[in-house]
Amino acid sequence: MFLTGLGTLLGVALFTATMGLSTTARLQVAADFDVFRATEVLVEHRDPTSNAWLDEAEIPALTRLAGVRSAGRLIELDNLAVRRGPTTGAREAGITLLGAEPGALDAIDPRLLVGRRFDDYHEDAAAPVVLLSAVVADRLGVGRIGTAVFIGDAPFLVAGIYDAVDRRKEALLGAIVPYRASAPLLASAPNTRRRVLIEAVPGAAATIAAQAPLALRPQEPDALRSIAAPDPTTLRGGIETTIANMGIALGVIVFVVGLVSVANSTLVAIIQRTPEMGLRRAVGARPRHIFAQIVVETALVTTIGGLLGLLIGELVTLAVAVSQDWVATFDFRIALAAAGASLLGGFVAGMLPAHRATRISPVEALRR
Amino acid sequence: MLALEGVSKVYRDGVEIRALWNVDLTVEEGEFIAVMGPSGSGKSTLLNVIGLLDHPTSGAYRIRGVDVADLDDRSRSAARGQLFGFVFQAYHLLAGRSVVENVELSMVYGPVPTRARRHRALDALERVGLAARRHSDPRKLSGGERQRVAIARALAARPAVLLCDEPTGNLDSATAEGIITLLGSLNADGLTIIVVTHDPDVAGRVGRTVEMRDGRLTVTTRR
Repeated sequence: MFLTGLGTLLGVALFTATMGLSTTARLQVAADFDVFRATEVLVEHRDPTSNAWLDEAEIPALTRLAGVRSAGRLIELDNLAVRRGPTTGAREAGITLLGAEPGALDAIDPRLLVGRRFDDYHEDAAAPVVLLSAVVADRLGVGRIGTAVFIGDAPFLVAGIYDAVDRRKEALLGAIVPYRASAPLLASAPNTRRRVLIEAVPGAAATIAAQAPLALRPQEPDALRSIAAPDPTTLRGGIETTIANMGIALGVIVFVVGLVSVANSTLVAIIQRTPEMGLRRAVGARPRHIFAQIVVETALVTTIGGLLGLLIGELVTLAVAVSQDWVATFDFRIALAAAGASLLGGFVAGMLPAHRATRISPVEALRR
Repeated sequence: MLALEGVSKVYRDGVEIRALWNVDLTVEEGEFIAVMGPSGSGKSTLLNVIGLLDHPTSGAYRIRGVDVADLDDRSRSAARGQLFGFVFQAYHLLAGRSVVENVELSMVYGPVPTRARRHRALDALERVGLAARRHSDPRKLSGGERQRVAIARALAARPAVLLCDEPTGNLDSATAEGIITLLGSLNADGLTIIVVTHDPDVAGRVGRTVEMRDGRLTVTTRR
């Protein structure tokens, strides 16, 4: 009887575990999701050698779009040498330098240990001020603001030192200067990336990504390309459908195989119980009584199997969730569906054996 | 009470087998009848036809004046359960159920309310002298005890006729003697009993013995 229900048990356990795990994992993805990445939009030219477009970009038109929190030009220069003194031989570091307009700086949002951010005044004046990351400051031996450092050959005044940023993580190993102040350095930088950095309000990134090229370069919007992090709801949906569909498909297959094996072993059991069927007929049972008895018995077996499977499935979910430090979820609807499917499946699986049982001749059954 | 007129049961399985052939038999209320004869002579078929487990292929069978051919499946099942009690050579007790639960089984498909079943089952067990074993597993009982449980199961439904197919066939002679004595005392209380048997001892204790050969009723002996 226990073995009979084993197939259902395994099917339901698998079904429950996969459903439970996919739900748990889905919520976990949402929890892990980087909210800063999700609200970041970058716009760049499809032709990486194109330079003029950034200076021509209509930043004010972009900032008027609904859902834009802040936006500004951003240029990234790789492998620039930063020195403590004007001469070679001074303490030196190769860094990524970010030239950022105040709007882009707001989006990067560096957390300053000392000093202050540069602002519109510095930008308009192309003032030679620099924000150093704590890593670079450490390597240069800079601990205070007001210190001069040399980037390329130009002197910059350290205005602040930061140890964390919300966006553009590469800034953690580099330095940030006003956008216009970076222009003289372009000649000495082998590698540059010109972009517009936008911070969107949560949920608006995809829309802004679609609108930004037209706002920035209305005469030639197709020349620009937006890069936005995948929308968290889409991502969640994607994970939900793939994992859950796989789990459901697997669970359903095992469940059906389980039901077939239940039907089969019930059939065998009916043959062994032939005398009982004969006896029941002899004491007044009608064929429909026999049919109902077998169907109900089978449903009972699969339901018990299903409930055990549900328990095992939930325990597996719980165990995985605990070991991964996730929040385990229990979806009552899954449990209800599993129990209902086991009950219904039992009725279906019991049909054929029950029909066979009604065809047992009581005379044959009782002959011994 | 029971009347068979020209009853035949013929199997056509390639060759024609006449399990019963033109049997006339009348059973009165309170009779104790033994059906004897060699194996394959149609004794069990006769009992199955009487007990409505089997249909005759021709002839008329009346129970208290009602032709069973007129009964639908529901009425046949109801009559089988309430009018007849069956006792088999192989007992046919359900394993995994207690003695009293086995006895209650005969009332499950009848009109006896659930609450009254336990009481009537215990009464029947009392009658066969096994009330003390009511909670036992039937597999732990001796053959004689098992057959008493089977008799109690038949009695609990309070049938009009007890049909016994070789009730002592699996028992040693001392135990068989006890079963026969029990059947005799039930008959003395007014129960109609028809018993199919090979055992000449049984035949010696009944009111009437009918003998069968090749599906025909050949000899009737009254005591």
